[in-house]
This record gives sequence, C-alpha cells and structure tokens, in this order.
Amino acid sequence: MSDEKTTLFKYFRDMSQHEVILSFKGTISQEILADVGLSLRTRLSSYQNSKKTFAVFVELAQNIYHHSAQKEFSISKGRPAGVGVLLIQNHPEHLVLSSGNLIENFKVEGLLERCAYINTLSEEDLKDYYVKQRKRPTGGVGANIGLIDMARRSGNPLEYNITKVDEENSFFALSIRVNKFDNEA
Amino acid sequence: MQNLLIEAYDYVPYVDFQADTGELTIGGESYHEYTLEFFEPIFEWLKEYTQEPNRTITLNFRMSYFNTSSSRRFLEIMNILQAYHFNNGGSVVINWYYEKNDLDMLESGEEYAEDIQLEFNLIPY
Repeated sequence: MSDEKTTLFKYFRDMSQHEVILSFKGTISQEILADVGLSLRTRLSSYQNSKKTFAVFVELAQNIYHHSAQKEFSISKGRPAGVGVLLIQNHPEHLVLSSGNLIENFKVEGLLERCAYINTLSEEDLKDYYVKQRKRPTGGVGANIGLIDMARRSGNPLEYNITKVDEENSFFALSIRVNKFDNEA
Repeated sequence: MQNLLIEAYDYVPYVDFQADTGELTIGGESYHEYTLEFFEPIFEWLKEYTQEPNRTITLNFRMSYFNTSSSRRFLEIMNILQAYHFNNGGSVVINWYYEKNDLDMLESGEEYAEDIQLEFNLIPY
C-alpha cells in the first residue's frame, strides 16, 4: 500500500518536472477527446494555437485508436480499440504532444521510411503530398494522412523513435512540437 | 425527397440538406472515430438526390474543425457533386466558410478549390 503511494507520488513529481499538463494511458475514445478538447481550448489563450494543438492531439489519439497493435475490447463501442499513451507538455515557448503505442514489427520499416520522408519535405511539398495522398484509396478506416497533417499544422518535423519490444511488436514513440508563437510573426 | 437533418454533438457536425432548395450545409466539428459510418447516410442521400438531373445545388461548409479522416470524406462528397455537375446537368456551387483568423481552415478550403473543378467560393466571416 505505502509502496503504491510512493510510486504514485514519484510519478506525479516526474510529470510535474517535465511540465506535463495531461497524461493518459488506455483507449482514447472520441468522448474523451471531446473533453480534452474543451480543456485545451480554455487553457490555451490563442485561438489558432489551441486549434492546432487540439488537431494534433486528435490525430495522435486516433492513430493509437486505429493502429496500435495492442487492443482492448470496448464494451460501449462493441469492438476493439487501440491502447497507447498520450502526453502533453507545456513549455514556455511551445507544447510537445506525444503518443506511444505498440506496432507490429513488420510495419516498422514502412513507418520509419514514411516519417523520414515527411521530414525531408518543404511546406509546399508537404501540401502536395497531403493532397495527393488524400485522393488515394486506403484499405483502412482513416485517410492515411495524419502524419503529414501533424507535420504541416505544427510546422515542425516529426520526432519519432521505434524500439523493438519482442519478436512481435515494437514501441512507436512520436512527438510533435507546436510553437506557441507564430513562426512568421 | 426527404431533407437530411443530423444534429451536431461533440465530434459530429450538423448536417442540413434541404431537398427542395438544394441548399446543403455541413457545419461544426467533425472527428468521428469511424467517419465512414457517420458519412455513409450522407453519401446515400446524395446519390439518391443526384439521380434526378438538372438540380441547382449549393454545398456550404461551415466547419470549425475536422480531422484528416473527415477531410477525405468531404472530398468524396465534392466528387459526387462534381460528377453530377459535369455528367448529369447539375449546377453545383461550393461555399467554404472560414473564421477570418483561421488560416488553417482557409488553407484547407484552398486545397479543395485546387482539387475540384466546380465554382468554389472561400468566404471569411
């Protein structure tokens, strides 16, 4: 019992030291997203800034929801939903939004290539890539343009890392930096 | 034909498609987890509506936020109406409303405008 309390305090202190304003582990439903959205919008003063932040947060959360290799059966939805972690850190000049989830090892190479490719693109190239990809049929539920969208909205490169966990899965960590002040200003 | 009316809630936009006037409006926020499930009735309605030739249609987007998955569905809606315009005597105009400080929303509109060969108005409010 006291061990758990100590652990929880350490956890809380670590989070505070890293300027974490929100952390979540589990399945992130759209109902939870809506709540977080409301909270972000009241917390962040600039309109454009809070919208960008929320948009990135939704893409990260829905990536986990649809693509995490670890699923939990959602009773309310009657189907499996992906499990992962989400983190928002509030630094003086920028916010960092991060997601982490398991992915199947066979997807690692393609994902690394995609992230690396996105990071080579200029603003204009990102736009062209986004528009081109949006037209392409996808086999999945999403539009397959979430990563491009996050790079575009934030104006910053994707920061990512993939670590092998076991013979089946790897852990995919992705961070997006959202500047609090306009780059152009 | 019946109007299509869907009330907005947190992650679902409102839909107000008036069959008589051809005034079709989608607005609010859209980030359903399974966008196809939400948009399927909309596609079905449009497919039926565009069975009859020579209608005049105004499609209004009054969105404040949408996720990437919705972004693809919007394109699909526009594609249905574009095909109707060019192949079935329809006369279709798209109005894209954006909050005047919302540059991302303006940019989204511009991208659709480049992709779609219909009259496409970007309207700040």
